Amino acid sequence: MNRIYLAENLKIKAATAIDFGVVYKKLKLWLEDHGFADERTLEKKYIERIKPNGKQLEIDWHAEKPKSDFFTYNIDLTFLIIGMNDIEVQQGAIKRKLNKGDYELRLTAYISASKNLEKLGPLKRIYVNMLTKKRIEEYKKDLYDKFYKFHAYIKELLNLRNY
Amino acid sequence: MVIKEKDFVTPKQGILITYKGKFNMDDLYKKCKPFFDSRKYIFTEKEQTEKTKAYGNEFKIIWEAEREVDDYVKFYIKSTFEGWDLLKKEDNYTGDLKINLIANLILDYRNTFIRFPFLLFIYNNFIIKKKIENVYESKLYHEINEYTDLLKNILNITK
Repeated sequence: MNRIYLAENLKIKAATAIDFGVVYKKLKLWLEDHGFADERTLEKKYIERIKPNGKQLEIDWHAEKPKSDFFTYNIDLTFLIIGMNDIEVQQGAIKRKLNKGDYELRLTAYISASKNLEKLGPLKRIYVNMLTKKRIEEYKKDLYDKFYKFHAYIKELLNLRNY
Repeated sequence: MVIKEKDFVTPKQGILITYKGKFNMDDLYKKCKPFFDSRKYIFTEKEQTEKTKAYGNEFKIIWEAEREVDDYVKFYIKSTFEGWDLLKKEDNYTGDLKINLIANLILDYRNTFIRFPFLLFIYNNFIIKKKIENVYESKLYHEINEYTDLLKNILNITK
C-alpha cells in the first residue's frame, strides 16, 4: 500500500472578489491549527506573473500530518488564479480593497504509508498490514471528516454554497 | 444483454431534468446531501464553480456518491447541476437549470478478476447474472428513482 486516495482533484471554482491575502492566511492557519502543516514546509510552489488582464498566481501546498509510526494523512491544495485585479468596495462606512479574479482551487486527500513501513522486513510488514487493516478504515473516516471540514471552510471563504 | 464492469441502470448519458423558472438552489443543495448520508453513501463534491456574468450568474456542481454494497458490488451515482442566465433575488434564482443523473453498478471493484477477464465475464453473465439483475440493479434503480422524485419535489415539477 503506498497511497489510499479519499478525494482526488476536487475542484472549487469561483469568479468573485475576495480579500485573497486574508483567505490565504486563514487557510494556512486552519492547516496549522489542525496539525497538518508548519510555516516552513507547507508551500511547495509560488509563481506570480503579471499579465495584461491582471495577476496570475499558481500556488501548490502539501500538508501532512503523521497519524502513527506507519501512516500519514496528506492534503494537497493547488491555487490557480487568473485575471486578479485590485478593486475597492464600499462595505457600510468602510472602503475595502478586494482582489477580483477567477479562482480555482484543487484538492486531493490521501493516506500514505510512511517510510518506517517500507523499512520493515517482509514478515513484519505482513504482521503490521494484518493489524492495521481495521485501523486504516478508522483513519479513512477520520481524514474524510477533516478533509471535508477544510473543503467546507474553503467554500465558506469564497462565499460558495455549503451543505 | 452482456453485463460489463460498469453496469448502468440509467441510460449511459444519464437522466436529464431541465427546468426553467424560479428555484431555490440552497434548498436543493441542503436537501440532497442528507439523501446520500442516510443511505450510507460516501459523498464527494467533485466540482463547484460559480461565475458572475453580465447577463446573469452561472454555476456548475458535480457530485459523486459511492456505496460498497458487498465485497463485489458498489453503487455509483453522479449528479451534475448546471445553471445559467440566472438572476438572483433574495434566496431564489430565476433562470435555466439542467440536472443530469447517472447511476451504475461497479462490479468487481476490488479487482479480484483483473487478470482474468474471461472469468469476470463468466461470473457476471452466468453465475451471478440473476442476482445482479434482480437484486443490485433493482435496488439502485429504486434509489435513483427516489432521488429523482426528491429533486422534482424540491423543484415542484410533476412526477
